[in-house]
Amino acid sequence: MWSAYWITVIFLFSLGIYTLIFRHNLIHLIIGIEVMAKGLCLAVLVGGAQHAGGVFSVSQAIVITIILIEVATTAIALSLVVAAHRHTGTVDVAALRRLKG
Amino acid sequence: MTIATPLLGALVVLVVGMASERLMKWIAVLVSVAAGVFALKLLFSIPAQPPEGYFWIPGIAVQIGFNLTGLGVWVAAIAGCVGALAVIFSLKYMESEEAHYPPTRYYFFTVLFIGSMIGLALTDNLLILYLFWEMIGFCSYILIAYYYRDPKAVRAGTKALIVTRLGDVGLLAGIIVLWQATGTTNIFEITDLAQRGDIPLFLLSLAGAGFILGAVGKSAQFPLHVWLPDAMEAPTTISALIHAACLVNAGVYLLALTYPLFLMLAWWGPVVLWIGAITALLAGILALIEYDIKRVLAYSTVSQLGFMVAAVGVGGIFASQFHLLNHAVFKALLFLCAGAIVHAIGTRDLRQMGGLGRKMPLTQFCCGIGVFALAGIPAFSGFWSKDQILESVVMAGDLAAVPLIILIIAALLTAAYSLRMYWMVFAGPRPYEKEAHDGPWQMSIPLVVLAAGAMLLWRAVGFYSTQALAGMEIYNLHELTLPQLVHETLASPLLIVTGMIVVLWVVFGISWSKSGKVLSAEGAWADALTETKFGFDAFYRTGVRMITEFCQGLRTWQSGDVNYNAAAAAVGLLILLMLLVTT
Amino acid sequence: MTDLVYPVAILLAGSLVVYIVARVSGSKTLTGAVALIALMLSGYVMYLLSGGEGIGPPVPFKGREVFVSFELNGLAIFMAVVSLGLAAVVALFSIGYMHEKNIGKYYALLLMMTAGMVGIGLAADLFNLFVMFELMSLASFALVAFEDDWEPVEAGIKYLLLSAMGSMVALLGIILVFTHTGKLSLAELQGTQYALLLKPELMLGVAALFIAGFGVKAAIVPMHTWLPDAHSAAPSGISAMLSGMVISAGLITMIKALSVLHGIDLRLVLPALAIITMLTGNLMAWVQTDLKRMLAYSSIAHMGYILAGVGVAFSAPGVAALDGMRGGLYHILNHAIMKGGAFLCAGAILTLIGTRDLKEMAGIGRKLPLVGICFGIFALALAGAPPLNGFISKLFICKAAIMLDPWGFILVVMVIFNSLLSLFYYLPALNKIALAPEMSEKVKQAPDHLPACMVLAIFILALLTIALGVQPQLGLDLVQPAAAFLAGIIQ
Repeated sequence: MWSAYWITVIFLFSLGIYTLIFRHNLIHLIIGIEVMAKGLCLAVLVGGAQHAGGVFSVSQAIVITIILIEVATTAIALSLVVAAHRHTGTVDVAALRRLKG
Repeated sequence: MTIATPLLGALVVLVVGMASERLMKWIAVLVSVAAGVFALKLLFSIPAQPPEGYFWIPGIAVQIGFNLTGLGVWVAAIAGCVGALAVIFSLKYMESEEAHYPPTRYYFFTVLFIGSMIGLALTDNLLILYLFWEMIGFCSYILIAYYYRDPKAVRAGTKALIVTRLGDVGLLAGIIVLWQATGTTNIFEITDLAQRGDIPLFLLSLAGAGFILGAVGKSAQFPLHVWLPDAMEAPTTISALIHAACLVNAGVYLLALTYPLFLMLAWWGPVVLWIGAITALLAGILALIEYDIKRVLAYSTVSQLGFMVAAVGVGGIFASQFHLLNHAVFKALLFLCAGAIVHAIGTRDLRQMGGLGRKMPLTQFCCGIGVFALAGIPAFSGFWSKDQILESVVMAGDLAAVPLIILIIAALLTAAYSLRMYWMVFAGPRPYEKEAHDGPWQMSIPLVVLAAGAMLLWRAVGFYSTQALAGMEIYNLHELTLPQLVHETLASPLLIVTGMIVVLWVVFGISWSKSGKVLSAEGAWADALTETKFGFDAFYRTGVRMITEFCQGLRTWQSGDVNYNAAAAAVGLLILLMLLVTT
Repeated sequence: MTDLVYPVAILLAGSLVVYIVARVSGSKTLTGAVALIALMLSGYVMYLLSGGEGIGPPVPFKGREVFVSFELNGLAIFMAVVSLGLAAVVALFSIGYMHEKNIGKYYALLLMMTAGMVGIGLAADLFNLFVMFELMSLASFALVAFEDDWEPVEAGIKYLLLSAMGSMVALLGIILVFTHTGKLSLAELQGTQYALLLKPELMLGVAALFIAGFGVKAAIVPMHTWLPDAHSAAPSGISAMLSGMVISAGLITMIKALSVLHGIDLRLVLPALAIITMLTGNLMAWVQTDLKRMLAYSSIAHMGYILAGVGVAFSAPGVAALDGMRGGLYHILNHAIMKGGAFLCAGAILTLIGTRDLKEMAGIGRKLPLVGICFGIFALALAGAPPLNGFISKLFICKAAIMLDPWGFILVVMVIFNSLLSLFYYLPALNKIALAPEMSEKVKQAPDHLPACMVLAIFILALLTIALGVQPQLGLDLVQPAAAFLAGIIQ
């Protein structure tokens, strides 16, 4: 199971989490989520390919659905970033620290 | 029927109160009197076979049954009767407040309060008992905070609820432990199992500790007594209800009810005894130096409850319940007298009273009887029951020697502070100058009834003991008739105590009439003590403040930073992985 | 009428219709009414599907596509009843609460979110479950940031990023299960032949991914950080939905996902998380001055109680599992009612005086007695006062928790002690609202009436709070089959 595919999956997933934790630009954060999702798409395909009997077609359907969900999430996220930029004038997360405690 | 009347009546009060306040008040009176009458009827004809219970929550097999033993019926009767008198008294007493505060709320919660207490006393199911136990807690919160324009009242109500709930943590945990250990919540079945030794001692200990905590919170025992004096911000009728009928009796009742259950625990009785004795002493000291008439009475209640709790600790169930009965009557009387006084002159400070006797002869007379009963003057009701308590402590042997001495000191303190209060109000060098007079009939009738009770109730001891024994074989009580009571009392060495009280009374009276001065603790230490009250309030305040500061510290962890939040979630994942792998 | 897609499909179609109606008519009353009709229709279809009377046997359904599979069981009906019911009340409330602007989008998103929750109950395979979960999440992101102001936008971004991250983590777990078994169907995975395909260490990893991933939505500490921001910034009706049902739906999703892992030992983890969660929620709520933020933190605490019940179900065998699940689910039902009601009260107050600051609310309960009384009922129920519903479900949870072997007693004491802690902030809030000595300036200027639909919505929930406390059997009839189903699948 420790094929190059899985190493790639783990790399993409960790990269996404790294981005979420260490980057301060909202656009970067959204890209981080996207990267995680793409890693998972790869994982679904790799996982489905290991089985016989129509499982791979299920994987394909799943990938499409994941992409669909990601597009929707990204769309909402970007619209929120635009709104945030309108209110704060920046896309830095440091400007979004007013709600706390 | 007895339970349902006030509970449903409360609803009627609520509904009618929206339409017509006048009608609502009379319905409240009707309902509470009916509840009192039903409770009394129950008392005179305790059915041999309690009525069938029914399932409340079939899913967890909680059956509502009735506990028609003498213990519960008496407590219910006290709640019903004193409650009815308090509601009648309120008619006039609360009239002047109605412009400022909604009367519907008052009568609704008062009737609910009485109904819950009757329910608590008549159920045989610990869960239902807990349910009513909490309901009286919440009713008392709202009623204590009734004068909401006074921040002190609201604070006092909040404090009362939180402190009693602190005790309830123990009670509920104890009930659940017992439930788990026995599979039932019926108190009698649990007691049977416990006496057969079917409950592991460890679990029984946990439950015992929990029940003590619950009773200590509700009955305002050391170290959770702090809420009761503050609760004096309530309307005086509510204070009377809380002290005499509804709230604080619940703790003593619970301890008495569960005494046979925890008989197996060697430590349980002594702990209860010590708690009672310490409470009686501390509260007695505080009552002696307090200047607020209602607070004096409050501390006196705490002190008397200490006596009752101590009696349960040595197995004197009968003595404790007999004192509970007497105390209910004379404390209700004293509170209603205090209410009449406060109503008449508009202050609660003892230093501003004095010489009121000439203006309010009826009140003075009734209050005098109450004070005699409280002080334990022979031939008044308090004397007999307090003597029973001390006697049962004596019979407990050497182990109880120190608590016995503490209790005797507390008994002397009782005489001292009650007489001090009486002098400061009614006697005094100068008559009270402003206008003051006895209350109208709505206020007088309850006073007279209660005064008669305080004077004569002890004569009913024979009836009381036979009725209290009904269905209580497991308590190992013996019947006590009136001649026996008199004989036992007069033959006991504790007559010395009584003698000392009488002597104190006489000396006190003479010294007052000579000097015209009222004995009261003076000097810096007394002021300091009045201020700090042995530091319990400060202790709890510090505790709450420390937790608040801790919470403020905790807030900095919620930094509001997205990166930080994501990191927290990632760390959560890592911790979970580690936890799962290591276990 | 055997098609289980209909309850979800009706809601999704309804959201389209609602949007069009709003665009055409521009009337919020009409829009709200259409949304209500859609919710009721969905509920009616659910009722027909369930065999007309109560809950019939589980009805499996395989859709036309490969991985659309729904199953009708006790849990599905429970989820449908609670989420449709709460959504209907919120829809009613929102007619008065929301402004005309963008009302179509609001109701459309509300229906979508409800569709997601109904779908979570119905979903019969892991990926389908995830899709429904995402449907609910997506709608809720947009709803949190519905008002265009800095606060909702900031809260929305935090909510979205954290939630998306959690979803990805949970999805990784689902994919790992899929990779090793080639199956997604819950029923098949719960069978024993697939259990052997998952190695124990892999199962532990997947369990951690599920708990952490879905735990973000279920606001389990330390994944809870988005919740107070999002719940306090959202429109009040949506706060009620979020607190009342969305986080619980996250937990239900987590339970369903965890059910595919056989024989996993969560004896330490879930109760420990439960204790940390309830303590954090209560202690943080203690120092809040913003009413909605306080209620939001209290939601975290309540998720802790629910998690305690669920944790017992995962740790103990047989009877205790059923009891724990029943306690947890019953608390979900009750929490939806009482926290939903409390948020609606907060919303009503917000409409009147335009602030969420507790200090400025002094005396609002006297200006509007009904709101004051109802808030009192909700607050006391949340603090676990008998005979209101919150007490009953906490009692069930405690009853089950004591059976947890090594440290059940500690869990019980923590649950009860936390109820006490919650009084420390509910009572001051109640005192401020109902028992304040003087009305504040803002309250004096406030209008003294509310739209009837808002009052009605609050009143319905208050009535339910009392009814379920006095007669718990009403709620148990609904909860029992769901608990039996869940306790069955996690064995």
